[in-house]
Amino acid sequence: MNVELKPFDQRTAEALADDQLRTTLRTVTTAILGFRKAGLGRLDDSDAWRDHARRLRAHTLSRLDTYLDQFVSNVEARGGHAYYAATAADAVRYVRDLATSKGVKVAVKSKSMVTEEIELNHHLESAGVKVVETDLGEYIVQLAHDRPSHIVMPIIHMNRQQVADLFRAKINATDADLVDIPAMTQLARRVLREEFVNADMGISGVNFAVAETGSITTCTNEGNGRLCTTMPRIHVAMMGIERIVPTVQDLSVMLQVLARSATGQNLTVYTNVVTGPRPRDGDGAEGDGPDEFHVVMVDNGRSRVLGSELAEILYCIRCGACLNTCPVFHQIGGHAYGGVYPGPVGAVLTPAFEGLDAFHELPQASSLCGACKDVCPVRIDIPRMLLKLRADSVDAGKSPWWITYGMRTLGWVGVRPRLFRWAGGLAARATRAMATDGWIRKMPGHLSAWTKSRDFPAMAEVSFQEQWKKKPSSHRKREETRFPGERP
Amino acid sequence: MTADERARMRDVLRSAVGQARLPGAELRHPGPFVRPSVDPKDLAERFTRELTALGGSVHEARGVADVVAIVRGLIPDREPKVMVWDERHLPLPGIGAALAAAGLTILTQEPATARSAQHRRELASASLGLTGADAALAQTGSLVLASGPGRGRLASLLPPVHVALVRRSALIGSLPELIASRPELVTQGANFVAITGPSRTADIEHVLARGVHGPRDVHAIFVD
Amino acid sequence: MSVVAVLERLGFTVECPAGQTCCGQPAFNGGYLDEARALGRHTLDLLSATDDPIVIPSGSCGDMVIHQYEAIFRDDPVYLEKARAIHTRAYEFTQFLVHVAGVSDVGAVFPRKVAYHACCHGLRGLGAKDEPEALLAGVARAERCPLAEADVCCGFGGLFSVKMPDISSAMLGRKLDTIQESGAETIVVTDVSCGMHMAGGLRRRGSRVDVVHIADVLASRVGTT
Repeated sequence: MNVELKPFDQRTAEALADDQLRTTLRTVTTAILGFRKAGLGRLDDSDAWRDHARRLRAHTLSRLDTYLDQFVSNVEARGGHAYYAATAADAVRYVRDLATSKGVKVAVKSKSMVTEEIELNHHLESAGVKVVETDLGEYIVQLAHDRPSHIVMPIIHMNRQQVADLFRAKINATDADLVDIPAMTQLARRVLREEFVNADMGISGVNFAVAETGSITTCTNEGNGRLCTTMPRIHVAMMGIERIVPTVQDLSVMLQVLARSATGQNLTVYTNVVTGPRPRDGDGAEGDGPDEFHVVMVDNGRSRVLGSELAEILYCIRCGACLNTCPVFHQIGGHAYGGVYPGPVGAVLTPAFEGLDAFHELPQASSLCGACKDVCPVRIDIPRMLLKLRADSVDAGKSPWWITYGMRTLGWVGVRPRLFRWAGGLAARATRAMATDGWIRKMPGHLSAWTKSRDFPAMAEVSFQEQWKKKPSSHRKREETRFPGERP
Repeated sequence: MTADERARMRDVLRSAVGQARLPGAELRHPGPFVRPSVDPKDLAERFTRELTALGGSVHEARGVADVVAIVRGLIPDREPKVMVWDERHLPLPGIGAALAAAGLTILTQEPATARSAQHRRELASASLGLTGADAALAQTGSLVLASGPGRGRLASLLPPVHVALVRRSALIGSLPELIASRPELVTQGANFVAITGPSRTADIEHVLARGVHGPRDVHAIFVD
Repeated sequence: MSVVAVLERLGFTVECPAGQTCCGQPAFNGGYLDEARALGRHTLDLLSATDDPIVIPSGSCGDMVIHQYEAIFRDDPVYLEKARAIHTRAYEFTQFLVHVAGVSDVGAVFPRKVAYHACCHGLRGLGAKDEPEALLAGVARAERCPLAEADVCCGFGGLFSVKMPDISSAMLGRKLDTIQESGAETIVVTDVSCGMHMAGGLRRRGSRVDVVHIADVLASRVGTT
């Protein structure tokens, strides 16, 4: 994928050294988590909505073949084109060929993580198409030749000064344009409005496709999603194959939890459902809307993940709540994850899509605290899948030798209690020998990783087992006594 | 897609589904899920509260003259241009003539010329867009607009100010309730949009900025 | 021994099966399923020797025994059965006290300023949210200090603390900042391993705040003065 990816240790070291990033992450994610709680709290029974949303995701994926086929039928019945792209190359080829054959010179784009996966912009530009990101954060990322660092807040890693410098360098911003954030936003609006006016093609993502109608839905706050799907003569919707719901009523259930989980809003400003190109004939002819509607259903490894133990990660509706709550993400930010999808969802998706070889550290970069599973609107059990990936890592020989050695020893000694107690006693004596005032300042070998930032306690003189043996024998009395609440 | 392509797609997916570990998956569709949201007697009040909290405004008008006065007050330009939905889609007859009489230029959207950049720039120069609303959602303060002939999408999108004329009978609790009772709003047309307040972003330093691409100001006028 | 003291004070007869070693969680978390199963079988055999309720004074071991054993023995009918049987009668310590013993005041006296950090496996793996709170509320003379981000992970994560020490330390740093801001003299935890991680960090910072397992708090001055 990305050949210039630095090693994981380096990526995280850079992030951990970036105090501005970590302060911003903490402030913003804390705020957003508060909004999320309030947003879900405004629903009378948010747990019931989430439970149903999960049931919908699970059921839909269990019949994905049927629903996608139904979707294709309906897209075509409404005069649109559907294309199943098994690989990233297939998806790119479809869009590039479409652009070339239709004389597309300028394409405007609204947010789509799938297009990041397949590097669509890069390939279209090689084919001579000017691609303009129109989502403000993505536009800035594009100007900076950077990558988004969060699913819903792409430039959380940048401050206003950096944006101002960028605007000055790339779009001739004057001082008046940069006086404050609203002014900078208005500058971007003017520049991008001209792009919309000239664009031949609009490329959008898909938050949810609807099988029963052949519709796609975009949820945005800025309005660029609506503009991309309305103004250009060709609209191409890029969709991960798993982003589908069976009916419009199901769509409304997912919409009820999506924005609240992401930003705490009841709904994003524009909940935009597109069904086919604009009608052009007779009395039904509409004044605006595209002449052509294409949906590219991108597989790119999703069917392989679907057929695995990791299928549950495909329930994801890309709200970003798991990122906002993850204490690891708070420290290392999005770029350190190295893939398109950061945070807990990325720690599963990236190795699942790209393989463990290049990304085996990601499932290890977690304390398994479970906060992600707690906040996920569809209750995805990310910790379970991280553990599965860790087991796969061990099987693939990716675990450090000293840990494997230690685990084998634990497994061997742990079924021999006398040996275990003897080894424990030995370790306890060793710690007491190394300690001053009951604490060790530097542990030997690999364990020195602990003492980089923490002291290690000397273990007790008398172990629990020894104390237990010395105790008076009240434990030999065994009475039948029931206590309140005790299960029989 | 060709029949072959679809068959191949189905095969790949069916095979994957057969080996998938999908916790909680039921073979049958779990069915619909709707909950009552807002007490019917509170619909208008709740809608007003929600839209106002988002920075939008709610007005009342007792006739065309009121509407024109509100519109005129919102765009103090000397030669204001407005995009307006066709009268048959507005809940008050005679709006077009009244606006023209008040000195506003009404831009019309012709399908044939809709493509030219020049025409689009013209439309984009409008100061205000006036539409109706197919529904108003109280729980979220949203205006629901379905597209069609004479009721284009751009009127509620291009200009910096959007004004929607709303009948009180269009008020309903929430989006799930709306879709349960009137699914054809979504299923029949080429475009359905729920507009929940003014266009906004907080991409830069999480500071709120309005009117990024869509309107900076959203007004709902109850006309009955 | 505090756990034993509290349980006996409440009238329970406590047995501690000899031969217990390790529940296997470190191996399971590391992806070493063979070793996890070996340790799991050993532990299940021991715990299956009687039918009595089992009390586990650790959220992480508790989660392993009560929930994860059923997952790792999914394909082993014999041990799956044992795991299921254990599941119905194994409790984390605070959950046992509140739901089985039906108490929240065990007569403890602990005259210090305390803050409570909710260790992750107990909190989320076992849902032990209200029980430690109820028990702490029943402790006499303890002054409760609110702890910001109390339910955010301290960064221990088992081997994570030495495999990814820099990230672990960064998370620990944040936890220690909130601890120092809380004004507490003692941090109460439900998992000694997380406690060790925080205590080690506090010590390295030269802090006088100590970290104590909730059982030690509850055993403190139990009953007689």
